Amino acid sequence: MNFLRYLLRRLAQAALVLGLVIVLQFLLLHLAPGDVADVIAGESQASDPAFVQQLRSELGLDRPLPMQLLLHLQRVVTLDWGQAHSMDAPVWQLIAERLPGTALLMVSALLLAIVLGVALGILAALHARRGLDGLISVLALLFYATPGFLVGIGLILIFTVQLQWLPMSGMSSLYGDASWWQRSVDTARHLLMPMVSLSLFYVAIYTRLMRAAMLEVLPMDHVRTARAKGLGRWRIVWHHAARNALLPIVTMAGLQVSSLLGGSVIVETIFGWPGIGRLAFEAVFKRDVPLVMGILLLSSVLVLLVSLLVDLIYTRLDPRIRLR
Amino acid sequence: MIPVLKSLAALVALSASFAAVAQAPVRGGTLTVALPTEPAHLNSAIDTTQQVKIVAGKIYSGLLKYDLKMNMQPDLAESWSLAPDGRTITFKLRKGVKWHDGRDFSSADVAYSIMKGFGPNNGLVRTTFANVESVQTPDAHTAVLVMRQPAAALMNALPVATATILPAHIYDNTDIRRNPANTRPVGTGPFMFSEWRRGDAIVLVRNPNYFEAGKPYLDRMVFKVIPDTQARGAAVESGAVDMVFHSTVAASDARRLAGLKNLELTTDGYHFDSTVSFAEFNMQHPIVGKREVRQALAHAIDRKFVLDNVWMGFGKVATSPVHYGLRQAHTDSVPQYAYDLKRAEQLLDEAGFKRGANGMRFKLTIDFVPFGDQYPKVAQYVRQQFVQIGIDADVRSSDFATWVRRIWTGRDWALNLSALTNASDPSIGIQRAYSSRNIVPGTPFTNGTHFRNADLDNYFEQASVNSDPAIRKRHFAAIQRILATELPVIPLVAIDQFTITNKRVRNHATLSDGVYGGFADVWMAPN
Amino acid sequence: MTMNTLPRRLLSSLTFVVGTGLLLAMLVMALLGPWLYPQGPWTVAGAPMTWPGADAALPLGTDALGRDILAGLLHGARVSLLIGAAATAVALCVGIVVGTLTGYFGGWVDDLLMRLTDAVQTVPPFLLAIVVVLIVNPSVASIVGAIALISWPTVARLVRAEFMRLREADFVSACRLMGMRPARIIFVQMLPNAIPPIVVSSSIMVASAILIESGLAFLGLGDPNVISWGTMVGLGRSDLRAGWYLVVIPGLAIMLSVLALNLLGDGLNDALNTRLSP
Repeated sequence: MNFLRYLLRRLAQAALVLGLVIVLQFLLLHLAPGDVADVIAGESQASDPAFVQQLRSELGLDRPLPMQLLLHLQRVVTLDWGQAHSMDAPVWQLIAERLPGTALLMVSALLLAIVLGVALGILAALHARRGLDGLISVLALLFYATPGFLVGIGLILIFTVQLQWLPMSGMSSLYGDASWWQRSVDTARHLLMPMVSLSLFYVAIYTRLMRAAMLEVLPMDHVRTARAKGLGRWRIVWHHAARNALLPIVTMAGLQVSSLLGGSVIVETIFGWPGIGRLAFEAVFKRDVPLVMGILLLSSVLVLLVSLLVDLIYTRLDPRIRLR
Repeated sequence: MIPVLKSLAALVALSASFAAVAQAPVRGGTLTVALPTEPAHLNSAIDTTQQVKIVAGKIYSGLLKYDLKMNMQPDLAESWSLAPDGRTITFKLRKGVKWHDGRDFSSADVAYSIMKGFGPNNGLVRTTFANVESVQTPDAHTAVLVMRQPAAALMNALPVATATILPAHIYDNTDIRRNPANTRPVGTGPFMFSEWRRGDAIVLVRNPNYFEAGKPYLDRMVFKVIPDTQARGAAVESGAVDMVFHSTVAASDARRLAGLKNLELTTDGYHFDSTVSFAEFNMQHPIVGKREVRQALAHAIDRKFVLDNVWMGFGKVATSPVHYGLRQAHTDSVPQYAYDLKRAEQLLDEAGFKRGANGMRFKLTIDFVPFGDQYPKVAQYVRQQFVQIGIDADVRSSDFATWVRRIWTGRDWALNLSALTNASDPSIGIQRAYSSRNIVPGTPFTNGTHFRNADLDNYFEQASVNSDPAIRKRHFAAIQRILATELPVIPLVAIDQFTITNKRVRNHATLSDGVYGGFADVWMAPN
Repeated sequence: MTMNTLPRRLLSSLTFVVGTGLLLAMLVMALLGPWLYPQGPWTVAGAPMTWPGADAALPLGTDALGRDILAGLLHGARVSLLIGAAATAVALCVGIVVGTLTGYFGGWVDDLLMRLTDAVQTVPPFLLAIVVVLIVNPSVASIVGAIALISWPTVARLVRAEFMRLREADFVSACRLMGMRPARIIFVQMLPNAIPPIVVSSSIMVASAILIESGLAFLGLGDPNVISWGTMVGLGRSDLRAGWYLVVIPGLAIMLSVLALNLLGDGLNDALNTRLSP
């Protein structure tokens, strides 16, 4: 019962935040001088005043701002996200087409970051203050400090230009018929460099986090007991220490959806990866307000959902951990 | 090498090259083209951007094609005749042509396209075709254009990407901008629309019922979206794509790529582009509105430097907004402004703008068109040059919508770096920018400088209705002299666009519209 | 922890020393710029696309328009560091104000402001920065503003957490009982205790501001009138194949300054935070 109340309260909070997000985004995008009608007219090079006026009344732009805001809220709630004028297609369709690409990129980058980060963090903690620890820490620092675009460009210079091993653009090079296996391999080859470029920064974060968490857990009583009992080293490390240290990592990962989405803009641009990060940048550049708002809205919903999920998981898991 | 062996080697090489030339077209294969931007849709009748034209040009057909010397060839029109008074053009259309959906092509499609399709909607040729009063269709295979006045440039404005013939049975009585066929096009061209993978690629397949028997040779065309300049260069180098068009790799890369064994570069096939870059002035600005100031600024820009370092030598220094490739109109005998910083400073002093206490004469903002990598570089270069002669110049970058609004509506600008395509005739490409009758607030690529000169207007009017080439050339020469004297614009570089292709790609630059044509004759040699 | 042990702790921390050293090097670069290259980074100094080392007078080569890369690097140091510092300063001001208000007063003030903070943080930060910069037109001011906008929520949360902790502390209750005015309590008693975590995080924030600025410039959203390391990368991107040094040299500079600031932050963290030991 308590949990249900907590859930409802969190949902209400999330809804309120979402509402605020929508209002703020609306205000931000309408802060710009000129409006969508100008943009569309300018692009089609047919901006005689009558046409522009007609366009304005069609899009409801000739009404006062509060009215437009209400109209916008209404549209959002009824899931009518409008037409993207720069791409001649409904906003939701464009987003739906590109979302899988970004999802694939983000999930694989995150998984790589967690696996690598956890492994490196454990290694560093086990050799704390000795050679390997120093090396890993330096490596982590380098990964953290190197700008994402430098990593991407560096990888391209090495793997595409010099060695010609990997393709540097797009998500696939196959057209026409191909087996499921061929398609998967092709996509994997295209995914490799963007995934690494996006994930390196987070590898650094998780390495440091895991190391710190391990160092907190290792001296604890239950680990000492396990050691006294003579249990195998790796069993201790994994079963008793690492699993407890994992929780903050998972929490952190959930909270980094927001940051990953931002990072994907640059990676998708460098590698021509068809995702919503690149779509967002192109949309902003073309002043395609409906598309921009759709993407911002979707990202916010995603972030809120994930953080809600993480919160719930945390509260569920936490008491059990303490009891162990 | 021993003389005998040397000549033997030469003979072998010679026969090999002959063999290459004499090879017969091979049927089959996929041609992959790198697209720098994903098109919003595929209707070139309402959109003049490269990415729309290159795809649409394969799906649709025009009335005429033009070889590299601009000799007219039949496309959808088998024959044509111009009435003596120049006001009526009769087109005899091909018989048996079918749309991709199986319906018959007829003169009704031509009538629709001219009167309601590209005629009123294509930003580039709108004014040229506004002259057409009506299109008579006495039978299904004859279209007669009746014009209010003779339009000298019209016969040169009929390639597919400019005068796209759309299917009336799909478009008539609909909103041309919202018709779903814009993203699932139905044309009469050599290739049919097959698939559009958003953000990734557009795929076209051979039209088995194309009206030129045996063509197209290619099975399939893939337009791959590669937004990054470097990625496109790497793609054509590695063979991931077979063609990059319209100078869309870094110019610094282009020469290196052209030297590779498997690639070749050509500047043919851009006659309908013929773009000239320039710096234009707001004639109503208090400072640059003065001719002496403009002349001074003209002396401060080293155009050869811009040509060599921004466009990497692809083109020629421009002496007028008319591209040198338009031989029927271009002239060099106009006032010139040599690169001379001392003279620039002298002119500014004489104009009353002496250096102040801080060494500066006045402030100036430089705007530039937000397309391509070149214009920010030109802007920075120009700024640096102006600083040297004592102008406190700064560069302003904007997105396209803001730039359009500023230059053509708001008018709070002084100097704008941009470029204009001449199309195939100055009446189409240049008149719109300098005739005082084409000052249209809000519409880009109209007369944004607000330059007004009655003589110039008259010459343009005369040139557009007079069919005698000698008379037109005289008028255009006078126009160029006026522009070089009054200097509402400082022409910079007459650009030679280039196409880089894998050597296996044949016949892609045999027509004047080059890559924007149908590619019915294009074939890929086997590896 | 008293004041005279602090310098000793700092100096004994290797990370702090290395970080400060690197940062000082960057600052020296920034200062040297106008002195060594008074004509600025924009003048044509030599043949375009000269490789580093090819010409003794141009140790780091030239870019596509013949501008000296070393001049750009030195002048760019000033711009990049200033943008980073300015953005962080603004974010700190806003964040401290919001954090103080929510942390001290709690209640509906806390709810309202925290929902606002949530709203700003929910939008992917880099995306928000892009939107803001493009809408307001790219310039140093808009970039500083955009970065500050996405950075203040972290500061606010930090200050709020500190204040909520301190609010229950004995000495604060004592002050309240004594009838001290809230303003005095906040500024004299509580804020000074919240300073250490703020100082540590500002170092990190300047680093991430530099990264964001370079990312924006890479996408073409830099101020066209100043050369920063990010703009050099953005400009060099189109000529990458002809000269990868155009991107790698400023890229390395960015990396080193971010490294320096992180090490500095780490060192400060080690020295100021006696609670977390390892």
